[in-house]
Amino acid sequence: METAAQAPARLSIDVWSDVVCPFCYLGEHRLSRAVARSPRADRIDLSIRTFQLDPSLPASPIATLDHVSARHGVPAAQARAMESGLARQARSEGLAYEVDRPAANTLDMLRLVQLGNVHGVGWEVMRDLQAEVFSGNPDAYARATLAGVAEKLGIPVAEIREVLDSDKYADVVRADHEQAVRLGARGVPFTVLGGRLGIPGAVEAGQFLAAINQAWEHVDG
Amino acid sequence: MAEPTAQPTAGPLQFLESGAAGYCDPATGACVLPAALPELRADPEATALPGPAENVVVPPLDLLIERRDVDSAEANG
Repeated sequence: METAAQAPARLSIDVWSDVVCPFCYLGEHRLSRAVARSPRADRIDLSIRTFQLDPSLPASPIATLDHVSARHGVPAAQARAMESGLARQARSEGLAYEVDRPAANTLDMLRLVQLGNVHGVGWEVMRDLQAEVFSGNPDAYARATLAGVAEKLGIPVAEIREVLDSDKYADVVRADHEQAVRLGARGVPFTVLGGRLGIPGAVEAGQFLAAINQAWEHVDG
Repeated sequence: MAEPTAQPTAGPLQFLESGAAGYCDPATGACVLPAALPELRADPEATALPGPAENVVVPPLDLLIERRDVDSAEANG
């Protein structure tokens, strides 16, 4: 029970994600909808954590379909079928999703997400970078695009430059990744509610909401 | 201004899983939603496709929550 001396209880939700991960893009959207539907949405602290899905991706963009085909060892047509299925699902939820989009190494993006976390806009940096990638922007991975996204969210230009000119926050990206693995994550998205409930994958918004309600039971004791 | 840190999360975690949840596997790079991609499952060559390697289908979340309550009641006699 709350008293005048106690601050209202809050629920933390941590989401491990990568910019190029289709299910992270979907899952974050669903989780946001679930949080918005929660009666105590104003007392939920949503945090983004980084998880580099594929460090082997090159710095220069390649076609996502070529990467999927090569990485999975499947014919191009099958890679397109996989991606088309994901596109149908994303579009049915109101998200832009281009099958023919570039893919590249996301470490710089994830370091920028960590800078965003310092400024309280890590979630927004992740979402805006994903929007660039999944909408099919051919320059999604360009330095100017990354800097533009961060600057638009109010991050000082000097700090953006400092991050993009160095490997700053690479250690935090690694630490986030290692923590997810320690917690039992086998993939992303990986969501932890209240430090107690782990949800692997992009479940439906209703399932996220049920989990949020269950997590509140623990918070409330 | 605080530096971002990898905050330790209290454990151990209780996992809530859904067989319909898609995710991307860092070991293979595969991103598969089994229920949404039946054409891949029907393809005999799809066995070469690295889907969720340990794709154990578990009950939906609400059933898990109910089961947790039953287990808890049983444990309390």
